[in-house]
Amino acid sequence: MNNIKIQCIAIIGKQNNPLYIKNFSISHPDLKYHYIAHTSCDVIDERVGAAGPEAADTYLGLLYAMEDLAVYGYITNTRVKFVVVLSVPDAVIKNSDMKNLFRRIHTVYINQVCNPFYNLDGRKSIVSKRFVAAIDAIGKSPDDDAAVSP
Amino acid sequence: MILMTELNYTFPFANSTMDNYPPEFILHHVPLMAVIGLGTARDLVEQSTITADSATSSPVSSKPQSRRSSLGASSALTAAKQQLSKSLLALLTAKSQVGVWELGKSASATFHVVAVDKNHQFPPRKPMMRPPAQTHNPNMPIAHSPLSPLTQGSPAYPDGLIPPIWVRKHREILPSVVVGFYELWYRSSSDPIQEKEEITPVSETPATVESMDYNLGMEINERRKSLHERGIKFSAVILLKVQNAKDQTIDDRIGNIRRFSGLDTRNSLFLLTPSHHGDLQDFVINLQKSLYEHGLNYYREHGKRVKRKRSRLPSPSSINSMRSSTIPQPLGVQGWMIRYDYKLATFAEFRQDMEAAINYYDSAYNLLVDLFAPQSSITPGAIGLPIRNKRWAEARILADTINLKICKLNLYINSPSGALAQLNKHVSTFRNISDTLGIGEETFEYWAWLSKQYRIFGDVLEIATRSGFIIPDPATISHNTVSSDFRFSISHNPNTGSGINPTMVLQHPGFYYHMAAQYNSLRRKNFLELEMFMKKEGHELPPPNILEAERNVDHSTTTIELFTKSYEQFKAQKTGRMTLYLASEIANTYLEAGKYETALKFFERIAKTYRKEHWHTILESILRCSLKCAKELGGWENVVEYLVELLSDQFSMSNQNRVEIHNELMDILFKANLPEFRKVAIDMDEINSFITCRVQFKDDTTFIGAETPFQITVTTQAESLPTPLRFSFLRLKFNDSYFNHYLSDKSNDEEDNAKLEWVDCKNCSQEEVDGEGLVWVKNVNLKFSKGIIKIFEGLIVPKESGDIQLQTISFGFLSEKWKVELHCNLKNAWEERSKRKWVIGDVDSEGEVIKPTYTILNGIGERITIKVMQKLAKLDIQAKHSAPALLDEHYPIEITIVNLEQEEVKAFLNAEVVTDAPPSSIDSEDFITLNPTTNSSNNIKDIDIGIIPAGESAVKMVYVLGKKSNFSRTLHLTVHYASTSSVPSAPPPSQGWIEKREDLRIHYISPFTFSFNISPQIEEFCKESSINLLERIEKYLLVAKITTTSPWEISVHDIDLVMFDQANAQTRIEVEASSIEIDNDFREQDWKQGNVYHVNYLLKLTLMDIKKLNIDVGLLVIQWKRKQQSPVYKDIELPHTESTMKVPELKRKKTEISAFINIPPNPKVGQLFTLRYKIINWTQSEKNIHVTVEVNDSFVFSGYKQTHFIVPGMGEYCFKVNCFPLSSGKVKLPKVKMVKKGEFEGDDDLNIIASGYKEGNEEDYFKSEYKKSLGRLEKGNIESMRNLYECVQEICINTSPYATESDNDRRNNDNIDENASSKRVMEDPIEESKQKSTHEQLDYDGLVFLF
Repeated sequence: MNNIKIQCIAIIGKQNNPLYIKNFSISHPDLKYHYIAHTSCDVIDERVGAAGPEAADTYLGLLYAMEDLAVYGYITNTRVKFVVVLSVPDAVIKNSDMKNLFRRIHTVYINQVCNPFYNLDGRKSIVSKRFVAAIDAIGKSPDDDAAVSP
Repeated sequence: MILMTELNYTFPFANSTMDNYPPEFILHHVPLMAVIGLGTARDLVEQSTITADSATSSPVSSKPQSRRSSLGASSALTAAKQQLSKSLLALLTAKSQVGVWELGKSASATFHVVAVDKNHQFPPRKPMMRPPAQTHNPNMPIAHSPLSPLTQGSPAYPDGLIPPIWVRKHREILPSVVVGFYELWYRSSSDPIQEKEEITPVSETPATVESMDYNLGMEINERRKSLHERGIKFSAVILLKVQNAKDQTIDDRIGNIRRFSGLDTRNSLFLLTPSHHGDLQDFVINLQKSLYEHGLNYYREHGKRVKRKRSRLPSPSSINSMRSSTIPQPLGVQGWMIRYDYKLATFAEFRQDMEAAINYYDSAYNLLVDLFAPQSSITPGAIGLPIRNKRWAEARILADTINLKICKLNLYINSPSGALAQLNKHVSTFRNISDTLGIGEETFEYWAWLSKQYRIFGDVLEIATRSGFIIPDPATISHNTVSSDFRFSISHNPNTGSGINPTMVLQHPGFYYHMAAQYNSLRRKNFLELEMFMKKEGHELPPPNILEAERNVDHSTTTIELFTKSYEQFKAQKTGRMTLYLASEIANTYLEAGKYETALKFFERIAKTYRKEHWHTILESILRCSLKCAKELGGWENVVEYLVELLSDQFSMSNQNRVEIHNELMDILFKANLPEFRKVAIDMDEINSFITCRVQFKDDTTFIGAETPFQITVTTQAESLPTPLRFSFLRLKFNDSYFNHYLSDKSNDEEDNAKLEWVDCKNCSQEEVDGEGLVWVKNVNLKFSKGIIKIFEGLIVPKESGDIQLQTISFGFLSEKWKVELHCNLKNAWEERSKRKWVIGDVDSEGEVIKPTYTILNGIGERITIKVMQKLAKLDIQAKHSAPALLDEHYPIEITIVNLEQEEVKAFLNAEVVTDAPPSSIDSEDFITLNPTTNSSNNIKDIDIGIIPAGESAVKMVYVLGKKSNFSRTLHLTVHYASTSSVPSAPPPSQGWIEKREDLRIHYISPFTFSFNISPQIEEFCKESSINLLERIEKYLLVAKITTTSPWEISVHDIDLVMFDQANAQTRIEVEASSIEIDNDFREQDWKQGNVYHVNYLLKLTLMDIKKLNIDVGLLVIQWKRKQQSPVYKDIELPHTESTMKVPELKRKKTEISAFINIPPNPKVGQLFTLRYKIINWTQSEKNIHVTVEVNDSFVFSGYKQTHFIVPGMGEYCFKVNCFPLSSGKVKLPKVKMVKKGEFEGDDDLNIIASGYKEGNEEDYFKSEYKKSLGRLEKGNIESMRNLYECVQEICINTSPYATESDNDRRNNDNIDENASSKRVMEDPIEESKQKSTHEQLDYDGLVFLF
């Protein structure tokens, strides 16, 4: 888990609209991660399409690597996409670590969705402070589980 | 075979501006084969052109041309030989074109084939013997290869590693296998000299088969021997001709040649028989296949040799090399190791041993990389290569190409991770080296180099994929976490692997092109920075030639080219968003390159998707770039558009930025000095709008003329606008331009910080506005701050029914140079489904707006359309009448119009009566009137009801008169009304009048039913008038039976029979007597339902034309009116109305002889009376009548019981019967039967008619009518009818002369129904007849009859 360095966490709505994109890096501008998140939609669609509708696995693994960044994807059952961008170490990134990471993001998202005042079908960005804080916690210390426990 | 198609691929850098890598270092190696005796490759080209030429011009220069008679055959022979050689050569060299991606191990055995001249001498081999390494002395004059660094004049001297020419030597010059093609000599009968010349041109002796074969064998042997020394396999191919095939000694000859040449049996001597000529392809493949192993062996031997040499090298660590960077030193041990490793790798590649090649290359690469370090780690004390000198550049090229080789070979052996690992290693190694040497990321050269590496890798990968290499799906890859060697750790089962190393995942070439492009763009950036720096410092850092070269490089074009390559790759992968990203990169590059127009086009195209999918951060960057482009291009309309969109707070930016954008927009609109007036319309629905408009019509429907309020809610965003913005105008566009509003800004500076503001837009005035037409105008406050809601409430007054839709709301700026309109199109439905809201705002007495408040309206969403209808009439029409109506009566209907409006109204009534009769029926004579004394048409129009105060009503009486048919009538009542305050100028129905309709059905029945009975009474010749003796008089009894069917009591005023005028003056009909005239107390009788009234008329018909059978009689007219009973009638004095009934035609019987009986009145018992029968003969001839009299018990009769008499023509006869009544009561008369005895016609009974006779055939009708109309039989009536019928045969005999009255009364009482309340009207027909007959008795003397 130590080799994972999160650069960006992106939550993308089912209409491929950005719900929340958080840049944790200092080297790249937000714009780059927006582009990466946006282009990830293609790969996710392709993966999901290739796996067929019955595919149960929400973890999509490495979507692509670009320059020094690796892009991982995850899709919820409601077709909300999570994209995590990592800076690449020259080492193997364990799938279990990534799955764990995504699961934690999913939990945070579920908490957000449980808010009755949150419009599920809206195309607006998520602005909830609690959500933002939780994602921040994941991004800053990806291996600290306690950071996101409610 | 897919790979074959790639062989023609030329290396992409061949023509590029970049410094090229030597192709020898890049191309794939395959064993080299040289062919002798087929001409050279140049011949191949030339021959093909010659043959092409020979088709047109005769081959003058060709040798056979000069020969004599056998010219044709021999030249054909030569041509055939040339053709064969050409085909063979073509086939052999077909696969030997240079290519980057060669066949690889999967391909079949293939040589790279070069054709050499027959006399070609291969380069001499350097001496086999070398002094041992230990005794090696550089100064010792030992023969080395001319390419060796030890040889002066070699390109590698003294310290070069491997020059490309070395590789070329093995690729192109030194074959591993040589094949000679020879022809077998034969004696041509026609021209032996030619053969001699061909094969042994030097020999002067006459050729024999043996000597020729020997010569051939020797030649081959010579060649074989010289090549064998060099370890090169030689094979000979004997081309047999057709003539040889016939030769029986051919096997011996071949055996001889083999013996002479010293060729061993295996794979050395091949025969190509003529029969094989058609199958050259197979021959060529087989030839290569059988020699392939020899080729590989050749390289294996080379490899072993080099390996031996390498093993003799001392360990580099043991040598303390003191190297000076200034003086060229001979190549160190490490250099030799690199050299040998590279050679080993090359030979391994030649023999297609990919794994070995990779290992050797890898070793060479590692050793080579070390040279770049400032201090070698392998050779202690050795200093790295000096930067940018010749050897440095060579070494770098070598390193790059070795890297490429390793990548490529890894792809050959299907190890994508290995390839990628090598690339990563290469890049990171040289990044470190460059950083250490200070020529790293800040130099453009580093980025140029990096870009190039990725580009080449992309190219190789692209070729590989096009050749069938499949890039593994990252989803199926997993890397072993334990093993560090990723090359062989790929598992294709994702479940077994626990992770993935992202750097080890090979992706499609698009990614690498993309990186190449990005690095190229960094190269440009760094170069520009350097230029800036140099300009500032005033001196040049890198060598001027490099700078100059770099200045000539068109970086942007290269970058765009690379991005485009990447774009194509991603496009092929159907990853649309990635291509958008690349398009944005391309656009950015264009922007940097100053190609604004192209850049703008790209930006505009890609912006759509990002806008659609709400990627605002990206969109913002695109918009800003677009803005830049547009500004550069002077496209101010676009600039305004981009600025307007950037005002939206969807884009997260600092307030400072927003203010800047806002100010920029304002500056352009109001301050910019533009040459001409510009108009721009921006569709706010298409972009991110900083302003949202919602529309509510308060109601779903409205009425014509009603004030219809609507509200436009304009919301600004929370962050935008940063500073208040003032629009010049606000235009509301409706589907009907009549309602268009144009609200101008009221330039007041009042500060209003309310979050919710209600703006009164009612009470607009209609004015002509320049460019807008006739619109409703008003000055309102159009200042918008951030985070406010402004509600504009307006009013429209629809003038016709239909839908009114508010279509577009446009905010506009108007300045000297600009007219900018921001259209908010309302046609698109608003997706939020919240409850409709309405803001209540008002102005208090001081003109201040009261704090607005929300209320909830019915329904959800937005309402931009309102339905306009006719105003619902708040008016009630009530009609009071007493149904059913009677035909012919003035049927009064009391119409009450109740005004339910809040104000007094002026109303007009229209009424029309329509019969329900089928349309084909005759024109209705119904009419409707206000005054029963006047007739009018079937409708009355525009009756002024007058003014009805609110809540009150007006009453109008109308009279409907229905005639003839008793179908139901419908009365259509229409009231038009308008408020007295706004009575339209035009009369109703027209705009402004409210209409109310009411239909009323009226059921009609006839008040009476009539039936008539006309019976002949008497006929006679005219007596009184002597003018015309031929006139004939007939009398008829008309009985009109009137039955009251009206449910209402009817007051009958008079009954009259109006006679028609006869068409013929000689025919006259007149009333002789009538029961009405007799009945003096008839006036104003009241008839009730079911009452029957009989009117009797005695008609006298005078006529001359006895053949006229049908006579019109006249009309029975009843004057009556309804007896007033219902409340409707209470105060109205109605005039009498008339019902008329046409009396049926009088149907005369055509008789020749008439017989009448004359019964004397009041016969009494015991008193004789005489019955007179009067017979009139109307014919010219006399008639014989037989009479039979039958007596019954009541009478005694005197006279003949049977007799006969003759009635003369046109004469009459009186026959008398004397009777003596025996009993009183009603008795039958003696039956007198008269028969006319005809001579020709036969007998005919005479119908004897008595006075008061009525045609019996009507009787049944009466009965049934009664049944129908009354439903029950009244005994008395039936009785009376029977009496009527039997009157001819019966007579009433009184017991005494005084008993008559009482007797009559008694019978009267019998006949009158005890229950009948209508006793007064229920006339006994017999009584009636009796009364009448009494009178008749008085009038007609002699014709007395008793009834």
